Amino acid sequence: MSETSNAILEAKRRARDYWDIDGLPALLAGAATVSLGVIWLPTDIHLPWWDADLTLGLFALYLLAESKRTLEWLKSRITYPRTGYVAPPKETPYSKRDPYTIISITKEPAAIEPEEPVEGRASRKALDFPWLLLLLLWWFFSFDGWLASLACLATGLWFWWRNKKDPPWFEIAGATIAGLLSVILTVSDRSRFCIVLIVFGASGMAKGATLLIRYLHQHPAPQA
Amino acid sequence: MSTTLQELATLDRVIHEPARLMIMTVLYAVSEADFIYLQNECGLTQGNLSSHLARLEEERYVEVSKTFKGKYPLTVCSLTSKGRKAFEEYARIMRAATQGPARGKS
Repeated sequence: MSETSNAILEAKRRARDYWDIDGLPALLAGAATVSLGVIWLPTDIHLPWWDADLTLGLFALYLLAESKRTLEWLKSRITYPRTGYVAPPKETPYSKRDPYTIISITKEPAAIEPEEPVEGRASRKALDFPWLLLLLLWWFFSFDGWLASLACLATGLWFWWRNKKDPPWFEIAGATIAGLLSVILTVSDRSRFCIVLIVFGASGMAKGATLLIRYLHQHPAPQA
Repeated sequence: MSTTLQELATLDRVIHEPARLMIMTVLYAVSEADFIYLQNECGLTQGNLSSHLARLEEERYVEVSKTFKGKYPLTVCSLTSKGRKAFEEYARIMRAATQGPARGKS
C-alpha cells in the first residue's frame, strides 16, 4: 500500500510546489520587502506631510489585507489559464521555505515515506528540529557584527548546499551581499536594517522574476 | 480462502479504473483543483477526463462547480464526503491485501 500512500504524498507535494512554480509569490514578497525597506530608509529630504513610521504601518496593514487578493489576481491572469488552478497549500510560506524543510522536500519521490503511525510521526518531528534557525539565532546573539556573521554563515551554507538538487541560491546570495554591505557601509543601525531588507527583497524579486520567465517560456499563452 | 482475499472482490470498481484512481488520488490530496490542473497531473486528454469526471460525478464521488478566480472562469472539482470515504475504504482494502513481506529471499 506504500505505493498508494506515496502517490498521495507526491500529489500533495506537487500541489504545494505548484503554488511557487510561477515565481509570483517570491516576486510579490520581494517587492513588498523592498518597499518596506525603502519607506523606512532615513533620507536627508524632509517633507512636512511625510511620516515614515506611519506610512510603514499603513503599508504593512495594506499588505496584510490585500496581498492574498493581489496574488490571486495575478495568478488568475498568468497561471490558471496556462496550467490550471489547485487550492493553495494550508501551511504558511515560512514553514514551507525554511532551510531544513527544503532539504526534506527535495528528496527523491522514492524516498518519501508512507503515512506513519502517530508514534513514528512524533519521533520524526523531533529529528526535524529547525537546527539551522537555532544556529542563526546563536550567531545573531553571539556577535556584535551579526550581519558580518550572516555573510559568513551564508558562505558556509553555499558550500553546504552546492551539491544539493535545488539549493536556495538567491537567499544565500542575498544574505551574503547584505552581510558584506553592512560591514562595508558605515551607516546608522536603522539604515543598516533597511539596507538588509532591500537586499533581501531584491534577491526575492530576482528569484521570482527568474522563475516567472522560465514558467512563461515553458507554458506559452493558450490559444483562444 | 481468507477474508482479506475475499474482500478484494468488494473493491469499488468505479475507483478501481486506473484513470479514475488517478483523479481520485489527486483530489484526495488537495482540497480542490480545476480541469486543466487535473488534465496535466493525470496526463489525460480533455475528452477522457470529461468522461471519467462525469462517471465520478454520477456516483456522487466528485463535485464539479463553475466559479471565477478574478475574471477567469474555472471548472473546479473536489471530492465529496462520500467520495472521500469510498477512496479511504478502497485504500484500506488494498492495504490489507498487499501489505506484508515485500521482499522474499530467492
